[in-house]
Amino acid sequence: MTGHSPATHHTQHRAVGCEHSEKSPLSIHALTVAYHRKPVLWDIDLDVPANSIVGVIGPNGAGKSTLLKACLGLIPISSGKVSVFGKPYAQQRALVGYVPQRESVDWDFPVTALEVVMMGTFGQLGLFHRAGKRERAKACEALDGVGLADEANSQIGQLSGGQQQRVFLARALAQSAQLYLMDEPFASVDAATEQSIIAVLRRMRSEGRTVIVVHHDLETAREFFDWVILLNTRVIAAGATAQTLTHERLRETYGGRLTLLDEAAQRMQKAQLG
Amino acid sequence: MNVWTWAVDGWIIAIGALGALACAIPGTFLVVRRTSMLADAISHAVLPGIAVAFLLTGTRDPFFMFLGAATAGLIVTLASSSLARFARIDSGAALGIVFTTMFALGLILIVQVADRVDLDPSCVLYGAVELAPLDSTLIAAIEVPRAVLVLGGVTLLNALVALLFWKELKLMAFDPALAKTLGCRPQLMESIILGMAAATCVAAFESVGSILVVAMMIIPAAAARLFSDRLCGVIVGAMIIGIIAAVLGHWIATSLAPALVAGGRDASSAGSIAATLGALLVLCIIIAPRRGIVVRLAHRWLLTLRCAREDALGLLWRLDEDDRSVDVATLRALLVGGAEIAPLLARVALWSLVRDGRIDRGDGRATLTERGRAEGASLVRSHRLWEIYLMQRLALAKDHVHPTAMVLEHITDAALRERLAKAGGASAASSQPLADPHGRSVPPKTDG
Repeated sequence: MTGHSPATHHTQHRAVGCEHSEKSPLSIHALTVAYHRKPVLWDIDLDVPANSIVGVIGPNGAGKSTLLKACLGLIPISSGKVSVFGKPYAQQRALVGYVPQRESVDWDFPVTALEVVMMGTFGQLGLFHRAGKRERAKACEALDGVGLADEANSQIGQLSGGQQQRVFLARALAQSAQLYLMDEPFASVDAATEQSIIAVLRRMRSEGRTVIVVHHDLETAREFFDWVILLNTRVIAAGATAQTLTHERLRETYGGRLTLLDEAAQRMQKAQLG
Repeated sequence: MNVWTWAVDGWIIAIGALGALACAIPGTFLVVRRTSMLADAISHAVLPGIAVAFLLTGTRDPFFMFLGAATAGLIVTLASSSLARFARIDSGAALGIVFTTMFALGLILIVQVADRVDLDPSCVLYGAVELAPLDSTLIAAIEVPRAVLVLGGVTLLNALVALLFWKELKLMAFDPALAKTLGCRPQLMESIILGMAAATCVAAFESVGSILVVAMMIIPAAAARLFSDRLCGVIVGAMIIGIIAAVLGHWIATSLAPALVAGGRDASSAGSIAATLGALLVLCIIIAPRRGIVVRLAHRWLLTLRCAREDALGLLWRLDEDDRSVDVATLRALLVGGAEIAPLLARVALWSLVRDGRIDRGDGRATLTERGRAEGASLVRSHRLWEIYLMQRLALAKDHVHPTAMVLEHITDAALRERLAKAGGASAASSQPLADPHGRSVPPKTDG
């Protein structure tokens, strides 16, 4: 089923002394990340299954984006280890695609949709090599894959929010990676765009790729994901969606804030009484 | 009015144009990344760098000047980022604090140095492009000003760097996070852009001055952005605008200004070039395609005209529905009174409707032609369907739906109209024509 995917990158090199699954596209061991010395992710241990669509779910401030960024080396990690198909991320860059949050870039920037998608191919080009016909063709194909072939020459600021999100997705497709980390690709898109995005993710899965998606909407989570990671500064639960996305687990994930609020409410009550 | 002597004025224009070419590349990157403030910071901060380099070496060799300026540029970025981090000062303010402090330091140093040698403070600040042709070297039997060589060299250098690192620079400027995951080293690219900006500032300080170089970096790029949606387009546009300003600015300084002001003295060329750039930017804001004021005003006026035309057709259709017949003057009065359309606009709208065959004004009466009737019916259909929709879905009161429908009817195309009909018709018998909240029947579909 996985076809040509990860295995080919491993045959020569067998990782030694790694208790985590070597096959796993993303294996995280005892990862702790801190911002200004305050830990925002505590002791994360995960083995993401290959060939699946995985949702990262948790409340605001749970560290979902931080988890992705830490895996990609965009922010320093305090301790722990991240491996991609059994090797450190730094050696496996080409296998990993990243879709940042839509707000992370300036959409007024003078580039066309096609140019943005072509950026996905830059990792495969060496220094001083310019993107040529092959990269252009690849980018056109990727844009076509998300239904935006007609917008290839539009400046990105003229696209709707959903179209912009799909441009990012096309850029990821043009990267031809095996593992994708996507930060809220479904954020503020309409229902039709949502369906077209999930269709693309499913196509990626059918090609043997693994997609990890930071997600907000609990209602669609059950439908979209094979596997979920419930996160709230620590991993509350991770596993197949049907078994993991339960009421109790969700309450535990989203409850951290509630207990604090409860405590605050109690203090207020006390202050009034006293 | 002076007549230009090409041996002098030609070189001055060449220096200005080369300055613009050199500035266009780093300037564009600074502008599209919304970090134009850095140009300001670098150009001010290079002053102490230049002064210290001059104090240490005693020469005005561009290499040492650049070394000093680059060090100063590095200090600005490092100092402002650590100030922002450790003193918890907003990063813009930190930059402002560091570069003004360094600039002040530079001023003190330059004035101290100036007493001993030929590094004129005002020349450093405002530039003396007029004097630049005097400082020349002989190349292939031609006296070439040193400034031309220096600026030409920096232009070539910037162009070369931009060509070699084009995709990395573009990627870093647009999406540093992705750049990093692709292994493009965004910090290095950032330093390259700052390095280009610093080198350009050093090259330009003698001719256009350390302050006016900011205008050369930022204004052409900002103006060109109004004309192009492509990064390379912005750079080329910035170069063209810069060259125009160099020619025009020098002409203003040597010909226009002396003619206008009594006394007849030439104005500062560098100052005139910078002022011209500002004027050109204003001009671009006015005339730019799509984003320009003229185009936007015209667009809005055309929209108002379209609405007025549609209102006229709708009104005439409704009058027809009540079997009322009016002449053109009455129709215009009704448009002005009822639909609150400006008298002139109503006149133009009716005139154009008669002209393109939607209204017939034979024997003094205004009547709809077949085409006009179909369009009028479509508009009224949109209007009444919206009224039904607003009543049903938004539960608006009957007397509140009309004004909203008056606006919505103009942005409703055939596809939206039929979706509305479906939404409104679901509750009514399908064969019966729908009735709007005021009891009027919705005209049937006339198009498609």
